[in-house]
Amino acid sequence: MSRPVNAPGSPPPAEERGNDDAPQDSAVGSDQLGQIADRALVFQNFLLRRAWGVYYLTWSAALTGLFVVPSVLTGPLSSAPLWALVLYYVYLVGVIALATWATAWAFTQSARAVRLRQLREARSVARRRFLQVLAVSLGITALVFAVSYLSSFAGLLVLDASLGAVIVWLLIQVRAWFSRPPPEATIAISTYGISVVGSALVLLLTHQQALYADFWLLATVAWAFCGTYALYHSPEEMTGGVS
Amino acid sequence: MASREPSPPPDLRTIGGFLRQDSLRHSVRILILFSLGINRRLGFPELLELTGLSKGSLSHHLDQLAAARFIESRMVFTLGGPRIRVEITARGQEVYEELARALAQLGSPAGDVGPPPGPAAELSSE
Repeated sequence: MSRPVNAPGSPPPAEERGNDDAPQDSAVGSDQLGQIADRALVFQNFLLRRAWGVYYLTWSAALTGLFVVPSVLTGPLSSAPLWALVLYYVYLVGVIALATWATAWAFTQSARAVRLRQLREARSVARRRFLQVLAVSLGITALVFAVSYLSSFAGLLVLDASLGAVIVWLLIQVRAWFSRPPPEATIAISTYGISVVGSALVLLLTHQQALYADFWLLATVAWAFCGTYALYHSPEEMTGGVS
Repeated sequence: MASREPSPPPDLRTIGGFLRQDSLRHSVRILILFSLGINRRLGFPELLELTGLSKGSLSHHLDQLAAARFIESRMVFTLGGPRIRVEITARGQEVYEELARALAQLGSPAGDVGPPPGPAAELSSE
């Protein structure tokens, strides 16, 4: 019978205590490799859930910059000098860049982990990868157009469409990694969907930009909660929690 | 009469070769190599969480992997102070890729990846 993989919390055997004179292990059997890979993937669940927490929190801050701050500054911005507008757009680009960087940082390792998981489960993701690229490309293209016309009605609609494309990406990512989505993922995607659909409907029906921002306040607050919740509960992944 | 076993496919031979190396003759070292293969780099505290070992034991295993030039450790300065960061080398990445490919040859378990039974549950009480 093969020796089980060392798990966190278990006392290390004598040969692991840093003593070079201790007897060495016999070679690990190929049958143990699968157990080791599974152990690595469990640890990856912990890292990934923590990464999702950072992702939710960063985008909550970005959504604040995109929707909440402009709605507060609508009055002053309408008669603001050029330098103030430039300052706001610099802030906006900065906050989006920060959120994009955080997203890339958070999910780089998850892509590699998904690959290992595919090897363990013989799952193909060629189609999923295509959908991801499509969703991200559409989202970025729409976002570029939206930022150009941010203060206009059409600009807000395009912005909504671009943020709506993110839902596709989110669903793909959550389904790719979590066999059972953790509660914060369900809450984040649901509230985000409500914000996308609600804000677009309000804009189309009433043309009131203030109400539009109110809908995004829901996602902003919910994502801040989801981020905190994910960071707090991520260690559960190591002890057989959700996923 | 002794039965003659069929020769293993190439990937299993490769795996056998790797697993006989001194630097990989321990499940913990392979676990570290797998996690670094996925993440490219990890902090020392994260590796402590991964393995559940003491600092001394973990250092011993990292020394073994570093001696085989599978990993490199370096001190980095972060907002929280100086930290040890462990990175996988190109050679280590190659070995990881080979082992991961061989895993597919070895077959895969059905169902989801979950925590292995046993002492992992003890982590919550620590």
